[in-house]
Amino acid sequence: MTCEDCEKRGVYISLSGKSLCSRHFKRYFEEKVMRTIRKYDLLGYGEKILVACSGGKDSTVLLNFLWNLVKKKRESLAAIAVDEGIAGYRDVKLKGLVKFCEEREIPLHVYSFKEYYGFTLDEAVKISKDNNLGFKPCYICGVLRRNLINNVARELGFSKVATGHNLDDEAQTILMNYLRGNPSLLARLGPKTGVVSDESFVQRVKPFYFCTEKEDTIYSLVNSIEVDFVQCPYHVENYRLEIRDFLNRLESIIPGVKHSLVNNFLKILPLLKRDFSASKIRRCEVCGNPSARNVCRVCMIKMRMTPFLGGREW
Amino acid sequence: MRIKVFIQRTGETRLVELEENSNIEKLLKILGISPSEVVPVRNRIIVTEKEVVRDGDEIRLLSVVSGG
Repeated sequence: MTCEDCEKRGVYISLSGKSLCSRHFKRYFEEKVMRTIRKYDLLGYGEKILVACSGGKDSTVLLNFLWNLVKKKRESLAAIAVDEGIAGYRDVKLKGLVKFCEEREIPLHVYSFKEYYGFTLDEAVKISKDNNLGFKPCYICGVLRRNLINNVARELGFSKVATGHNLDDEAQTILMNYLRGNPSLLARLGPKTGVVSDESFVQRVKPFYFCTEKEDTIYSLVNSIEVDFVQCPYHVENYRLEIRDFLNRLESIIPGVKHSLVNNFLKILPLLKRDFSASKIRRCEVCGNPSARNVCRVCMIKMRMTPFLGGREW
Repeated sequence: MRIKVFIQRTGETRLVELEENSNIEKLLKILGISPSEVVPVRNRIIVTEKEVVRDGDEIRLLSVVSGG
């Protein structure tokens, strides 16, 4: 199938059935991201942006995109990566990311769970399993990684944390929270995250919010951004995997279902924010950070894990 | 005709029997893979699902999922 704009070989077919070659696909993708940034006011002039990178395709492509976007003001952008300590996975991913940043001279901050919290994720997962603490690997990883990135962003003076979340990620999260009956978590979603603005939180933005995982992949390929394909060993224990496969099956039968899910969610998001946002900022009784509960998730993990750390400092 | 297919997500290579003039969409259907999960590459060139497959082609189905 040839490109409808220039008759070169197509690499992508849009939802409306339009075929695009690599050059016109790049233009389509970049225009879509810029529209998202402008419409939702994700990034403004003079902002300092920290790009949260995993070494995976989405965040690496985002880093490349934003690096090109700020080419006249490159001191305003840096990348952060977290080594959670997942043997055979994160080390491979980070190696590729370090090389990518070195080649482009992008400042990269690397932090590890081991140095920051005193244990690796592998160790935390073992402690949780051995002692029936009930923490799933993705829960520990997500909570502690977000906390670390937020703290570093705040300490280094960044005004935004940009993440590579795409339309597939958002559709999955929306459905997961619907199925769990958790409207207050739904109220925190959207292209800009955070219900309550508080100086201890650095706002997170998702410039690829309306780009599908497939579009991200094609964009990485046509820009020759190579990322190793390695899957996290804990991904099979993740509820998200079930939802992802379910949505992909549904998308085969009803093309555009993921777009509909996200677009319709955005229509009701203002109502969710109105009715399910915390009207008053609560503080964690342990650390004092803003929290939806009496004890924040980070402190909850810390309290339950500490007795099993063999006297190691958290 | 017989097509050699590499599926990145599982790491397996399969030989698939296809009717003449079948496209990649048909191939994905046989394999039970959703088009939104993969980017097809034919003989090292990215193609769309509408691309007709030829005898002796090597198809790589690159996973769009990068990590977890």
